[in-house]
Amino acid sequence: MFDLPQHAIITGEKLGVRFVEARTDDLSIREIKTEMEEVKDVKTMRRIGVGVNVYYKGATGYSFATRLSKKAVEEATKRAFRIAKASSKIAKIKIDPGQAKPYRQRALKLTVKKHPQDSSIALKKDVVLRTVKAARDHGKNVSSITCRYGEFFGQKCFTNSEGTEISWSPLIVDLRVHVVSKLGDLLADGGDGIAGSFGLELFETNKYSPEKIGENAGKWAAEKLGAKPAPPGKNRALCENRLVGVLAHESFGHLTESDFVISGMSPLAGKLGQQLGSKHATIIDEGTPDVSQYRGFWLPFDDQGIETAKTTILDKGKLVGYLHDRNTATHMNSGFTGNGRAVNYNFPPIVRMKNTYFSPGDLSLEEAMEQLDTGIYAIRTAGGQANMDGTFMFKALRGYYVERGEVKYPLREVTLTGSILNFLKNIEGATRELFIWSSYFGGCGKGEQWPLPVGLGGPHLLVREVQFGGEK
Amino acid sequence: MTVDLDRISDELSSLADLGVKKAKVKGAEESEVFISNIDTLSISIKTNVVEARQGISLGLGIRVVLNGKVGFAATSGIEEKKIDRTIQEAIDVARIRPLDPKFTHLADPISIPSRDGIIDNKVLEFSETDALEEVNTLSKTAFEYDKRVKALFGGVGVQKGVFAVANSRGIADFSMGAFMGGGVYLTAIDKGKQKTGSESIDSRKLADFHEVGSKAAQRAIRMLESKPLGKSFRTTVVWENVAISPLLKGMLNAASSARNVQEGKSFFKGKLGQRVASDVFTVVDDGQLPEGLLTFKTDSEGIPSQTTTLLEEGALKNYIYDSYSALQENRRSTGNAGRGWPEPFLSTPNVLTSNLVLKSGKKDLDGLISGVGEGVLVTDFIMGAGHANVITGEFSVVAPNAFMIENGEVKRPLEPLTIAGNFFHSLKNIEQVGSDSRITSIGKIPSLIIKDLTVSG
Repeated sequence: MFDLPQHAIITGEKLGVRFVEARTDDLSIREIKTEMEEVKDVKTMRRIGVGVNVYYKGATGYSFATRLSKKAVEEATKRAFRIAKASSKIAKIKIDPGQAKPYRQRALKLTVKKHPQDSSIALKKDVVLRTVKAARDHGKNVSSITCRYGEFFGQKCFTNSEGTEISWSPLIVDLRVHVVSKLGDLLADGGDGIAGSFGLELFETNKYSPEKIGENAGKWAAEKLGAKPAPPGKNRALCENRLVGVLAHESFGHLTESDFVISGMSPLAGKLGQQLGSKHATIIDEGTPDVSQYRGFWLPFDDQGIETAKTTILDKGKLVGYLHDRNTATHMNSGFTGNGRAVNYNFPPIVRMKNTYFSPGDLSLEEAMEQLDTGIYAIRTAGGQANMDGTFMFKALRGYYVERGEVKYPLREVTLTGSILNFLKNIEGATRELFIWSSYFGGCGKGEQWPLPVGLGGPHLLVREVQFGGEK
Repeated sequence: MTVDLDRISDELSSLADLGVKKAKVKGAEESEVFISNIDTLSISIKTNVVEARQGISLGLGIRVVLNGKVGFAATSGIEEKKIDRTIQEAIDVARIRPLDPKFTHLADPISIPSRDGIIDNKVLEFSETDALEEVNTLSKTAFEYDKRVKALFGGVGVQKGVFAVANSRGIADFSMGAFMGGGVYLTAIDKGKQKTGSESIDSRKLADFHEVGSKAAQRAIRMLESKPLGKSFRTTVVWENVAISPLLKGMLNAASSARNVQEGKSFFKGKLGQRVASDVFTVVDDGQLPEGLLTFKTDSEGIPSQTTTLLEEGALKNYIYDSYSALQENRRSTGNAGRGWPEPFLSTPNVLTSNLVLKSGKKDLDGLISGVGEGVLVTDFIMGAGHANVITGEFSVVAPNAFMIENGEVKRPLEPLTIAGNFFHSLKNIEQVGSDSRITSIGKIPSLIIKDLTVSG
């Protein structure tokens, strides 16, 4: 697997290029999708390609080959060189990858008991159908159950002009189910699932068994049939782990990506050292959290061959760091953080997050509910979006109205809007547990590069003055 | 230059044919081979940092039928040994699949005249040097427009694609297309306030980007005076064409898909012939619009692309079909089998709209605004359209670029505004459709007015 990327380096050097990065991505994907008990889709795909990133006079050119031959790699390298050369004429900010120590580590992988590549697709189908059965058994007025299983694994090999040689094996398993209940004209949905770098043995635990996941989704959809709209306007809120993870990643994390900082697009440019949030707001971006304990995505190296760091970006409310690829770290005179990542061989590495999460605090969940008193308990996310000015819109998958610390009734269409900087200031407390969510279906998107596996999470956060949308 | 595309389509077509033959030898009762070759040139700029990328994404996806069960597998590359391996994987998948009683067979050929969209030689010849020049102009014009423009992301790109599809029931066809696009997203900063603006062009013909930078800048600058709405109320919303596009696409795609109708996941289920929208609302799914970005000779199953009326003067006329959903109802596919982009070979076909074309009205955007006593205007893009509930129609989106309308005039710009409602219920509240239809990545869309939505901010 190293032959072809090494050939790219040699070809580049012959062209007079000082620095070349090249990699082989060999990634396999398997997917099962069911509607009710019917297996609708089973997919299996494998993508192998060689990507070449050429640095020339302050510009980069990227190309790739899907035909795995020395000739194809040579052509890709020449193409990359040609566009880098043309770009260097208009690039006002010169790109410099700096210098890194050469790493040599081969065949790194996470140890799991039951790697999905070793078990049959029939077994995975069984996991899906058990989930569907549990969802049906515990649902009410069920009109549809969609269940999806996905896995992602393979090998990534990286080499560069400095002599770095890294190969490692990414892994993600994802099981999720979505239930729609229908009563007359009223539709309500619920969902549950688990995803991250783990083996199939996780489905043998009580907490993440297909039975439990299905039961939750069925129950929560049924419950929403009787839900009321969330009261629009400002409310106190208790935000659950995955929801705060989305905020940490989408709304804050992206603003700390240093390409956004250098370009001036991020409102956090020039704010290093400033107090942005309350003392309960600490945000970390890490490559290899203890996934056996917290879940998340295991990422030892980035796509520039840099070992991933545990990077604190917000420390007790204070902005202390940005996320870097080699080029931005060199430009900003900062240390490498291992955030240069590419979604697949079609794309060059750019600044991306790893596992981004709020640090836990010291409250128990009961104490947090008590402190919430009256407000909205918002759980998980059915998606969201953030604008570069820090404004966001996130939809919670579930929500409850809470009065005097007690859950009163379920809510539907719980949409949180606001500005992340206000949100950080308004954090009043955090619970002590940590959970990191990752995913195979979905993942992070930046520009055209989607879906990149990342992790996001945190504890429960208690926040005042959260703006909720909803129909009046 | 179309010679290149012709040469590629010949190569892909013969490989697709070869694949079908090989699948038969390996014991498949039926098979379908889809191969795509998409050449992308993309030059982007992030405030003076340039990134350039060019390459060809090439691969194939194979469906086989074994004992009535369907298996799918895909691979990048098109080497013969990969074709062999992928056929085997598809067969392995088919073996373990339960029988889908609704599946009868793969698509049969249909004979309807159809053609590819416009292919402009100037787009085919557009080089990296041309793209760099345009990107440079985009960036320069934006920064020169106003000194408060501080940061900018922009880019220009060209995609040239060919796909071929063949199956064992006699389908053997290919389609090709080439289009270019470019745009800019920028921020303007004044007195600590940061606002964004965007503008883009997508076109099958050589596009002129020299006004794109200044238009985006103008959109951001005018937001610098924004004030919070300071309340939550129900009112009339005037949607600029680009702002409503993503919501229209997501909702109409989901509700019109015959698969969703059959699975009970469409709001339009059981409503054929009924009035579901106001009478100004006529929508056609036009797979043959020459200038449409989603126009191809055939869909991704090799069925000729067609023109299907979805809604006519508010009445629901048709759903859209791929061959699977069409066979459930013993009817013909409408040529709406789509696959993901820009690596379509990776996915099985699903029911997707082609170019959504809304029948335009008489007034341009200013004309629409002039008839509104009180309401809000939403321009640029909105956030959260992708997260709307396409089954129920409920949505809540945020508009970073919104304005108050009073007595038919655009008054003050507003701080980000949340707009919530139910899209399908709102179809009956579409008061007017504009004359300013514009080619976007979803079709050809005018601005429109929807009354009685909840806005807050």
